[in-house]
Amino acid sequence: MSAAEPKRLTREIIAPTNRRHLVAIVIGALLLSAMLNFAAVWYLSIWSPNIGYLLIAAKWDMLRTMSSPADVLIVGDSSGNQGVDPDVIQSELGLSSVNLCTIGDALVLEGAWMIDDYIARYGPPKKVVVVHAYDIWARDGNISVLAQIPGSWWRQKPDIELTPKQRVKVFLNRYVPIYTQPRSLGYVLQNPWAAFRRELTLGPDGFMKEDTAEPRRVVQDAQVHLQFVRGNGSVMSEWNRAALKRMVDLADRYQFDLYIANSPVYDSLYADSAFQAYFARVQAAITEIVAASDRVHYILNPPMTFPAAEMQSVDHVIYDGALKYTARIAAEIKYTGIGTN
Amino acid sequence: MLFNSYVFVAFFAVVYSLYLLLYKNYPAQNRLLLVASYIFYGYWDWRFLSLIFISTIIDFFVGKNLFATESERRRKSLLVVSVLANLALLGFFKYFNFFSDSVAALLQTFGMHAGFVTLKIVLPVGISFYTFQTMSYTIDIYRRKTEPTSNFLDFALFVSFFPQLVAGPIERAVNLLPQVTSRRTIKADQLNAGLFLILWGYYKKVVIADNVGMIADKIFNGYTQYHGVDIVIGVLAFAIQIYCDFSGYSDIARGLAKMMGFDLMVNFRLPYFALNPSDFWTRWHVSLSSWLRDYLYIPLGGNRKGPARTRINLGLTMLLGGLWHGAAWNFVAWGGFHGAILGIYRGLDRHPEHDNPLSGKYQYPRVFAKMALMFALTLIGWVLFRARTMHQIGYMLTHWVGGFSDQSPDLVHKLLFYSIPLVIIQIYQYVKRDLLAPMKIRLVFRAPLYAYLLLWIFIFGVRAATEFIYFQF
Repeated sequence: MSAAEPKRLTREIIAPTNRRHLVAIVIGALLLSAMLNFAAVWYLSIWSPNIGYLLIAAKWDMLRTMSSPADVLIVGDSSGNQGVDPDVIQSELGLSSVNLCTIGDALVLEGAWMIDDYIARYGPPKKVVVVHAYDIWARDGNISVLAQIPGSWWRQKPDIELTPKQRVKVFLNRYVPIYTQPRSLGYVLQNPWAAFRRELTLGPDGFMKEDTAEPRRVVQDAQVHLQFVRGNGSVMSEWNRAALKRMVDLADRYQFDLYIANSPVYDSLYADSAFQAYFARVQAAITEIVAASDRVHYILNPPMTFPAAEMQSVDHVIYDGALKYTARIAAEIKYTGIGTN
Repeated sequence: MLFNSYVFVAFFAVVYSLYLLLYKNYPAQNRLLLVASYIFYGYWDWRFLSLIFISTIIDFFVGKNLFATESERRRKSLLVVSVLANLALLGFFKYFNFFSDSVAALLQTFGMHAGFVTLKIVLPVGISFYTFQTMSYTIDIYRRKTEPTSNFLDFALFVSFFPQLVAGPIERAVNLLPQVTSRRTIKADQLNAGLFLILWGYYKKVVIADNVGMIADKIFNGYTQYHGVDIVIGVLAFAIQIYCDFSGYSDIARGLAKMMGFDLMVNFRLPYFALNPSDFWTRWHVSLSSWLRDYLYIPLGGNRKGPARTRINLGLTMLLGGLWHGAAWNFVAWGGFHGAILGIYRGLDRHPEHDNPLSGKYQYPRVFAKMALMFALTLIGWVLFRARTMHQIGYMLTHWVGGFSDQSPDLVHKLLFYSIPLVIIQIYQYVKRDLLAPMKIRLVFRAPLYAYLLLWIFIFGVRAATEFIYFQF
């Protein structure tokens, strides 16, 4: 150790500058960051690696650009997205339909807003099928996901109170992805060769066909769900309750048939007593609301069960399962005696 | 309060706004900074404010009396009071359990059972930093290198100045105190440099250190499952993590200080470009290494008492330097290792002019070879530093050779992704021999560079405010 600092050491040399120059750098960097942020907004709207967000955008786009109205609207979560095939509805009931199901975190709310939007554009549909997995009903709002739903939905019915903080979050989620979607952007930047690969493949009727069963994942998933049912007290969140009531109101006001369908369920999970106890409470909560109207029918109750070999998770069926599941929905619609209204 | 937390961002915004409002009244600015510094520190645990306060009171009065008295005996006694008081604080809070456990373990090896007391002592954040800083104040007054301040509140601010309070740089009174006791002006040059340092510091901490730290943690925590390339990746990741974590903190601290018109000392000068151990310690944690040099190595005799004594002095200084980092034997081993290589290298460097880029005899191949060797030795040192057991040290140092595993490509990809920008910028700094070189490129390139740093902080920055590694020291 020598007391004198060797001259070859890298030093810190402060360069003379003036305030104008400094302001130019700061503004230049901020403007560039803002431009790149908006480039990211555009990029993610087309190639986001987040399939859920792409799905929401694609389904709303489908809803708003339909060339002709459909007889049957199918709304709900991802279990309906890959579980209800509009072709089967067409062949079984002779009714045209469109699958507008997205993801669970968009809650039952999204379905209510879709029906509203549909009515405003095309008039009331003949029938609406709502498909949700049993655990979705208990979920509270995930603002990051809800923000992906276009429009000022917080001004629509059902009334949901957004706190100022939640409103800021909606804004950030829509317009500042460099802050709110770091995982998606990070994935793309770390894997630039996959940057322009769109993973979402939907049919023209909105159905997402999945062919590969994942029985091992189903079994693992069942354990997670058993933990959920054993530890969860609530079966229906306030926002979902309000959304379901709104759907019932719309069905009454516009005189269309509303079918609330339990999603497919993995057979071993359904056989578990803890699951059945929780599920019974979900059924009771739904029944209490739908009983208010003659136009509303709670179908596939008890739910249709499937072996792991026909599923990807405890409530997501592959195509073979989807054919059976949709056929059952069609049969129940027929069974209510209003199949061809 | 962590620099990489939203609370700190809000805290600094408020403090800085008030600081600017008081720009015509530097004593009021000092009071504001003192209150802010105590809030900053008290946010962790307000009880430990008492330790800073005790250290401040003792050194303020010792400093005053040291300066006022001519009696050498009394001066020595006063110095001993200051040093012992600070070392007692440090010793109790940082080393009590370590020595207690170590003695108990030693006696147990001889079949003796000793019922030593182990206290649940919480380590006060940054205690090693501020105790060393206040000690340097009294020692410098004792050596008549500086004069004490008569204003207690100014001295309290010198001890607790929040940007550098908990992880340095360990400032000297001769540098910081005059800045505290006089009016400061904030020039555009300083703001410019300050903004760059803050941005670069955050980038190094939240983008590089926190991300490569996950690789290092994975491999160090599950080391028995890895060998060959994966072990090397883990050690490289830790080398990058600890550098970016600590130098990132220093950069942010220095940048914040610059924005308020203060100049804190440079703490890192591209340490992985060092050519030998001595060079390394003029680049790594400069404020500590120079402290150890000035207050320990030179008083021990430095290199003035022959080669053998020089090596002993080096070894002793580095052992204590290792222990400064933490109360554990691996830190002692790390210090001992650096002491040993300092001793071995001493006398081997026969043509230092060949390493000097300012010399006409500069030799690139020789320089690169020396740099690579020193880096490899540094990595060995980091294994000693990061490992938790002797078995781990043995395992990791003997399993460097081997092939790739299934995880290797992913680990290499992640490590390269985060470290390549650092390497590019550092090579540029090294070639330009200027740590602020990146902020001197033309505006058309600089704005994109700043935008890049900002975006990466947003996108890749680890959001959960992780503690800086050096807080624990």
